[in-house]
Amino acid sequence: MELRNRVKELRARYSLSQGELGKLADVSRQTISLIERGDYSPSILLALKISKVLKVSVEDIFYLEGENKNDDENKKV
Amino acid sequence: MMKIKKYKKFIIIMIISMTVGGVLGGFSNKISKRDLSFGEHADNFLFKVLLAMSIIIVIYLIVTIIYIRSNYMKVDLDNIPKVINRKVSNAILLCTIQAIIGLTGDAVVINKVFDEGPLYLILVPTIFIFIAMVLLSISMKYFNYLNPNRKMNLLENGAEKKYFDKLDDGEKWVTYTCSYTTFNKMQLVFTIAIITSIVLSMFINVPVALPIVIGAMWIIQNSIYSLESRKYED
Repeated sequence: MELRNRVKELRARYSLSQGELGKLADVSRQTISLIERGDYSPSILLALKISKVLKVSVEDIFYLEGENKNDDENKKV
Repeated sequence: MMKIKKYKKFIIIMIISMTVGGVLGGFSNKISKRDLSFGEHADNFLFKVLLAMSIIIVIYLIVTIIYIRSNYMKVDLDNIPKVINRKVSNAILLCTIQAIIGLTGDAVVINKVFDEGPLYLILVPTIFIFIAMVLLSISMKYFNYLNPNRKMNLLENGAEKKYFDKLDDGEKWVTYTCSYTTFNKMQLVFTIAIITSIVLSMFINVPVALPIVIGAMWIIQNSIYSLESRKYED
């Protein structure tokens, strides 16, 4: 299973550029670009920092391919 | 069938190697009579090639640095254009390559000086090394301006390590990927270099030092990798 993310989508919601998000998460623009492209899986620390900046939980940003988030929520109910 | 597909690359390389080796071996008697060397002029030719390469690289570097100089102040540091970043990293890479070419030029001159070559020629590659160092320090000035959090002083002790420590997770991952690719590609480069020296030795007088140096570098590279990886076994 591959790790996927919604960083680009959520970044657009706040009209943040890669550089601006990088600055807020204390990393370079290149690192944000690598994460968005799925080339690099961030560390737990960086994932937490990004989730804090984007004001969503880590699970809302990062998920495993093939895993349906809505199914998980239904199971919880 | 699946097994053959799995080893397709290996089988093709082996067939090519055996064919080339067989052909060369079969014609070894004829080959040994051929003289494809540059003879007396080999060092002179090499010196001129290195000089021409140095001139081209220095001209390109000067043009690149003039471009960076006229644009770097206007750049928004939070959103540096790709073209400027690329030009700065190109300049740093080419300065390093130029310094290596200069050192190689010095080695070519010194190799001949002890017999009959004019000693003053050593000044030419040395001047090019000096030019490369000056251009490198100028390029580093621009690099440090564009990357204030990643400032690097090449003359400082352990500059590379200090620079690496300043990188974030993603940039360290890029360094790891590039290093691993370099290691893998160098295995191929060493193989080609050894085979080339073997084939060349059939046509021209290749110094024994050449395959020994290549082999030693190959062994050293693998030993460093193996010893470093052992540190993380526990």
